[in-house]
Parts: sequence; C-alpha cells; structure tokens
Amino acid sequence: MPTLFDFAWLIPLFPLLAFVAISLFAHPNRTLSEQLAIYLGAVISFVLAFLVLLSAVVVSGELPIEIPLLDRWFSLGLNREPIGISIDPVGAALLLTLALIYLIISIYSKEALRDDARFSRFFALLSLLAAGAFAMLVFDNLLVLLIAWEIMDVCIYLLTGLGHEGREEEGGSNGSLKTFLIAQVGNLCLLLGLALLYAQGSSLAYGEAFGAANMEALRQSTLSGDFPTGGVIAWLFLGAVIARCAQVPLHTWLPEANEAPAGAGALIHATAIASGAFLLMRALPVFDATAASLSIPSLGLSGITLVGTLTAVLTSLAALAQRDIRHAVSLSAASQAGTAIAALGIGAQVAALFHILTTLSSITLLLLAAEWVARGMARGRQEAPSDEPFDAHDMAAMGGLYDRLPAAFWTFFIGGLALSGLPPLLVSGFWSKDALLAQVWASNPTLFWILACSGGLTTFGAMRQVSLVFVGAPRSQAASRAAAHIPTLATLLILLCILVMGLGWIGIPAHFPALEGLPNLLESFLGAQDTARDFLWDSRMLGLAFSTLGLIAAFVFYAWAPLRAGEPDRLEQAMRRMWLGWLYQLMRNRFYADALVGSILARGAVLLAGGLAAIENGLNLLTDGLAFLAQRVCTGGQWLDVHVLSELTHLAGRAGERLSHAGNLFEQHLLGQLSGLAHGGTLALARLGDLFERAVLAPAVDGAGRLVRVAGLGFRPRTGRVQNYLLLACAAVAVLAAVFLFLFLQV
Amino acid sequence: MERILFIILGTITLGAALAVVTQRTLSCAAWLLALSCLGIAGLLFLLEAPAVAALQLLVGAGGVALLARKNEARLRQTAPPGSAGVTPRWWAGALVAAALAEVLLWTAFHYDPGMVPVPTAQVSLAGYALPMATAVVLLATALVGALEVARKR
Amino acid sequence: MTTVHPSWFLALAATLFCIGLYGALARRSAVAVLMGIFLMLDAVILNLVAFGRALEAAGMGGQVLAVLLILVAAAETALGLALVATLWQRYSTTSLDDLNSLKE
Repeated sequence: MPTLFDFAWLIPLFPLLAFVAISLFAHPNRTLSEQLAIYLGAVISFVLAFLVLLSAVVVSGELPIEIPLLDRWFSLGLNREPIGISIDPVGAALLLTLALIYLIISIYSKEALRDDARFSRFFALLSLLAAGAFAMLVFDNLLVLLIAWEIMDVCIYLLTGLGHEGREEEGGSNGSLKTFLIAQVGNLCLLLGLALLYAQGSSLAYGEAFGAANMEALRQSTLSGDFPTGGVIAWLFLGAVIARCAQVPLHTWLPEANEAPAGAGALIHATAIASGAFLLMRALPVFDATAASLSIPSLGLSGITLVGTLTAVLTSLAALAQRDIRHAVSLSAASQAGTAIAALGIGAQVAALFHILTTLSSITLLLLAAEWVARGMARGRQEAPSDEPFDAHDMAAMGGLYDRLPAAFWTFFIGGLALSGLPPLLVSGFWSKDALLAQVWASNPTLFWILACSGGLTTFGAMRQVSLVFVGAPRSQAASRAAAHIPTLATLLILLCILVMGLGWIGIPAHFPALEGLPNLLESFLGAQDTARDFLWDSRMLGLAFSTLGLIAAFVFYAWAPLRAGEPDRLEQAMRRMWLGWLYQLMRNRFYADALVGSILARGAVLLAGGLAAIENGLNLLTDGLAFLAQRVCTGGQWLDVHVLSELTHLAGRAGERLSHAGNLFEQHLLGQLSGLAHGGTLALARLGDLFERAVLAPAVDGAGRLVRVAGLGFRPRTGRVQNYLLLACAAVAVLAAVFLFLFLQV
Repeated sequence: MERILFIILGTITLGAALAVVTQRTLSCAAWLLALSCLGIAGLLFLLEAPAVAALQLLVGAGGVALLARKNEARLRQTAPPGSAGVTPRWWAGALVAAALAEVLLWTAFHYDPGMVPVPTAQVSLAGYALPMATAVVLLATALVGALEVARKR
Repeated sequence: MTTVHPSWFLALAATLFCIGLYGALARRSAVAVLMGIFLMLDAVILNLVAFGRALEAAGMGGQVLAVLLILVAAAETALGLALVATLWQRYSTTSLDDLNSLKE
C-alpha cells in the first residue's frame, strides 16, 4: 500500500522542474519565472516536506524507512546500482528546515530583485540549489549524495558569480572561484572515500554501505598493508565535511558566499551546513568502527572533535574582528557548526542535530535582517550622495539605526540572542546549546571549558554587531538617512523569529526542573538518547555564565559609550594596547587561511607550469638545432656540387680532350688514314664524354643538390599552420598502421 | 531486426557526420553534430550499454544541441557563410583520411578475437576508481580554467 | 544483439573517425575543426564499447573507459570553445589559415 513516503522523490523533482522550465522557456518572462520558481518549486516542496515530516513523526518507531525505487538506474557492464528513497529522522528534520528556508528566501528575493536584470537566472539557480539539497536528503545512495553536492557547488559558484556581476572590481570574481575550488576539494575527498567504500562492499546504498557487515569488513581490511581502509575512509569523509561546513582550515569560503544576491547567501549557508552535518550523521557507523584511527592519542580526542573545537574557537575569534556585517554572521555560523560537530565527535547525536537545526534558523534570521539593514543603508546613501567609497554592509559606517529601522533592530537582536543562547528558556539557542554543553561536560571537562568560552565569544560578537549597527549616533551620512520599509521582509522575519523562539521546545531534556514531564520530542523522534541523563546545575550555570559574561563585555565595549564616526574599533584598540595587535590582525584576516592555501597550491601550480615551459623550451631548442643541421647539410651539398663534382667532370672532359689531341698527333705522325678512324673515334668519345657530363652528370648532381635544398625547405615543418602539423602526424600514423599490419599480422 | 536498426542508425550517424564536415554554415553544422551524437547514442543502446548511451545522449546530443541553440547568432558572426570552407590543401587531408580509412577498414574486416591480447583477470570497477577520480578533478580544473580564459576582459 | 557482427561496428567507427579526421584537417574555421575532433572522439567511444562487448575478458573496461571518454570530449569541447572565444576577441578571426604566428 503506497504511503506518503513513496512520493518523497517528488520533493526534489519540483524545484528541478522549476529550474528546467525557467532556464529553457520562461527566461524572458519575469512574472512567469517568479511564479514558476515560487509556486512550482518552493511551495509544493515545502508542503510535501511538511507532510513527510509529519508522517515520519507519526511512524517514528519504524524509521528509517527505505523504499526501493528503481532496480537498476545506473548499470555499467556487470554492476547494477539500485536506487531508492530513505527517510530517516535526521533527513526529515533537515528537509523541512531547508524547505522552509527556501520558501522564505524565494518570497523575499522576488521582492528584492524586482528590478534586477538577473532575475530569471537567479531563480533558476536558486531552484536548482534547492533541488540538489532535497535530492541529497531524500535518496538512499551515496552516489546521489555526491551528485547532489556537485550540483549544489555549481549553483553556489554561479550564484556568487551573479552577485559579482554588477560590479567591476579588481579580482572581483575570485571570491566565487575560491568558493568553488574549496568545495571541489571537499568533493574530491568524498569521491575518494566513496570509491574506497565501494571497493570494500560493492554497494553504495546507505543500508548496506554503512551496514554492520561492511563495517566489520572495514575493521579488518588494510590498504596496501599499511593503512587501515576504515581509517582512511573516515578521514576522507571528515575532509569532505570540513570543506562543506567551512571548518578550519577551509573556513574562508563561507563569508564569500554572501556575495550572492538577495537572500541566496542565507540559502547557501543553510544548505552547506546541512549537507555537511547530514554526511557526518549518515557516516557515523564508519566513524564508530574506526574510532581508533580517528583518535588523536595525545589529546584523547577524536579527530572530529578536534576539528570542531578548533573551528568553534578560531572562527568566533575571527568574527569579532570583521567589519562587514555579513562576514561576522557567517563566521559565527561556522563556529556554531563547529560546536555541533565537536558534539558529534563525542557521540552526542541528539544534541548535535538540535544545535544544527537551531543554528540554521538563527543564521537565516540574522542574514536576512542584515540584508534589511544593508538596503536601508543603500537607500540612505541615495538620499545623501557623496564621493566617498561606500559599502552598504560596513558596520563602521552604521550606527543609531535603532531609530531609523526599529523592526530590523528587533529581528536582528532576537537572532543574535538566539545565536548566543540567551535569555534562558525563551530562545531555542539556549536549549540546544544547553543540551550540548551538558553532554560535553559529562564526557570531557576541558572540552567543556573551551566550548563554553567559544560560546561566550559568540555572544560577545553578536552583541558587538547589535551595538555597532543600532546603538548610538549614526556614523555616516548614509546611516543618518537610512530607511527601508519592506513589509514582505518584515512578515517573513517575524515568522522566523517565532520559529527561532519556538524551536527550542522540541528538545527539552528530561530532567529540567519545573518542566519535568514535558516530552523530549526530538529524542523520541530520533530514537537515540544522549548519554548524560541527569540534570547538572554546574554545566548549565557555567554555560549561562560565559554567555552572560560575553554580553556584558560587549555592552561595556560598545554600547556604554557608542563608537563615534571615524573612531577605530574598540576591541582593536584594547588589543593593541595589550600588545595583542598581532592577534587582532590574525582575526581580521581569518587567520590567513587563504594565504596559506594559496601559497601552497598556487605557487606549486606556478612552479609546475614553469617547469613544463622549461621543458618545452628545451624541445624547441632541439628542433631548432635539427633544422639548422639540415640547412647545413643542404648548403654543404651545394658546395660539394659546385667545387668538387663539376671540377671532376671538367677534369674528365679535359682528359678526353688531351686524349683526342694525342690521337691527333699519333695520326698526324704515324698512322695517317688508319688513325683517321681512331681520331674520329676518340673525338666521338670526347664529345660523348662532354655530352654525358652536360646532359647527365651535371643535371644529376645539380638535381641532387636542388632536391636536398627543396627537401630542406619543404621539410621546414614550422609553417605555423596547425593543420599542416596535424596532416603530417596523421600521414605518419596511416603509414605506421599499414606497416604494423604488414609486419605483425603476417599478411 | 537489429541489422535493420544498425543500418538505419549507422546511416544517420555517418550521413550527419559527412554533412558536418562539408557544411559551410557553422550553425547548421552544430545541429547536425547533435544529430550525429543522437545516432551514436542509439548505436550504444544497440550495444547493450544503457549507462554510456544515456550519458552520450545527455552530453553529446543534449549538450551540443544546447550549445548550438545558444550560440546561433555568435556562430554566424564569427564565421560569415562561405568562409567556413576548406583550406587550400584540403586534398591532402582527404588523402590522409582515405588512407587511414583503408587501413582501419581492412583491419575491421579481417578482425578475429584471437588477435588481441587481453589481460585475463577481471577488471573491476574499483580498479578504475582512482584514475576516474583524478580525471574528474583534472577535467573540473580544466573547465574552470576555460571559464577564466574566456572571461571578457 | 549478436546478429550484428562486431566487425560492422568497427567499420562504422573507423569510417566515422576518418570523416572526423577529414573535418579536422581540411576545414578553415577553428570551430569546424573542433567539431571534427568531437566526431573522432565519438567514433572512439563507439569502438571502445563494441570491443568491450566482444571481448569477454575485458569485463566492464570498455564501458568505463567510454564513460571517461565522454567526459573528456565534453571538457575538451568546452575548453576549445573558450579558446576560440578568446581568439575571436584578440585577433578578430577564427580562420586557421590566418592564425600562423608560430611560423618562424
């Protein structure tokens, strides 16, 4: 009996249809494009995703549900790959979140890009991005995951390229290239890991590839005797997740993704973090089976946790030193993703998923609110034009927007609070961070302190942004005239605020005082339980304390005496005064990860190209030398002809003359008429010799010389015409083939 | 039955190919190239290789058709009709192609499976994984490079 | 499909190859040469799959290489077209007769 899940494959289909329709047909017609994109793509998939999640919740005992679709959708010779649907709790939850974000952003972008020429292309790419993300979550095959990641990468590249299009900047599109290349690194890791896994178990479906039998085999096998296959696969998958979720050292692409127009940046953030988290959760069996290879003995940590923690700290530090309002949010997003990944490393699945969900919603809220602020600033700029360079997202030029854009203030503020996890009980960020920290406290206290610190730093960063943007007096003309009345955006953001505040209630831990008895929906949905069950005041209070500390610090630094125009950032000043200016520089430049990667890879590539060019120059010299030699041979032949051979023939002719003269004398003095014959004979011989020399030898030698010259000329192969070269090559091939046939096949 | 299909598809493919190399108008030639790819995809289906055929359809027929459609104006611009003819020494090319054709056709008809040495071990998909991965990365890099090269300065 | 002898496929592929070769050698426009090269690659793809099927011991080798070759053909065509576009921008001609600056 077909259930709703049988139709889950429609979820990615509709945005895909929207993409195809827009790019092939509806291109010129704007209204049609937007209707297609929004209604066909976003609305239908959202409704379907919602229904799927509902059904999944209803049958949560039976998840994951696997429905085979096609027995052989991909057959290569003897191998046949089946494909099917697999709905599991993680996938369903992420599906609905992404579908909701996609819907919100579609509606917003329709309004934001109303007069923009890139309208249709934008919506086509947005639909394709969503289609890729949904496909990744719905199907049951690692191969589909890879394909979906590739599709998403192309869309991200093209979308950020669209954002750069309107502006003529020096090295403008390099940002989108960087995004694409970093994503390709991740995809390469995934591909290699996939190939190894496939070689191991000859199936890429989640059920079998990550099934118990395969994991058992992984534990045993080794690659060329030295490396455990399982360990290599685990590290490769981790590499893919690092690239995807913008973890250190590949964290620099996420801020670049903000260049995409309108709300696409938010969708890119959401899909990227969701895909990385999804892979990590799906591949948990691999990580469990190879925990030994992943762990770093000196630290007693799993590699996953190390990466997550490092990112959490470094990116939250970097977020403190950013001037662009969106970059700070992106780096905070990477930091939260890192926290969740660290939690996954110690086995706290429920808390990690919870945290990812809340992060996705708060980041979307923050990015869209930042959009609002930027548009307000742009309008303000229009009212007060000046010659100075202007960046709508530069926080140093903002300030005092609380009066001008109150709604934007409230939404941004709530988003910032959600990200920080304050105030308690009200905001989803609190619940998820709380659950996470509780788990970490139970497993590794040091880790707890580090993560709590990074939480405090995130709070500091969020409140810093709020203060810089909204508090105090406007720091520029544009800020003093900022105005943006966007009802669509306001409604959408209010919706998001409600989501952000309400999402927390699905995951209340079991023993929370005063709220005992409320079911932990997330836990029962996931069917998994985190290890630490008791309520510990210590971890909760300490976590809250760190966040509150961050809040107060931000208040003191930025809100107590708001920055005035032209004043450098307070944090920068403070750090310089404490001789930590170098640290501030590092933070501002996101720890120079770009430069590091660039110098290794880029310089390596340049060296390689230089080496190859040198080889080519050497080959050129060789051919030059050969041509020179041929020329010399030809002139030598000429010289031979002129100086030696003709002389010889002349000599021969003269000898013949002498001979005839002698015969003459002989005849004259001795023989008379008898010698007349001989005379005639020798004369004839001499004349024959002459004739021979003139008619045969000379032309022959001349001809030989000319042949060599012509050959030298004609065989000057560098006419510069590609096709002549090709002609020679193919003629040679034909001749060689014929020779080969004759000789080797004994014909 | 299969013979008939083979003959039909073969004729389409070869006919379209001949037309491609003799056409003077580049935009027409592009469409004909897509047709030829379609013929080849059909032949691949005949050879029981559905995955390869599907890929050929997508990339060859689909891709080339898309290119042809999107660039009709540009093709007409870069090569005004009549100039896309042949080079002065076209007969040399024809000669070489004919010679090679002669050699290859002769081989085809005197072909006997025993002639070709083939490794007896079964070649599995996993053995190709690393080369394929490398090739994919190289191709992706080449495409990015192409985009950069062709960007309007 | 065993009624069609592999030799016929090979002959077809050979003819296609030589047609493409002629196109690559004797045409004046760079785009036309690219089309000829594409035809040659198609012929090789056909050849590979035909051989792969005819030889039992090759297993999947023929088809795997054919897939790889399709990718290569696509990438090479894209690259070639990018080069042609650049040539057009720089020299305002795509005729190979005029582009002989490698001549000594």
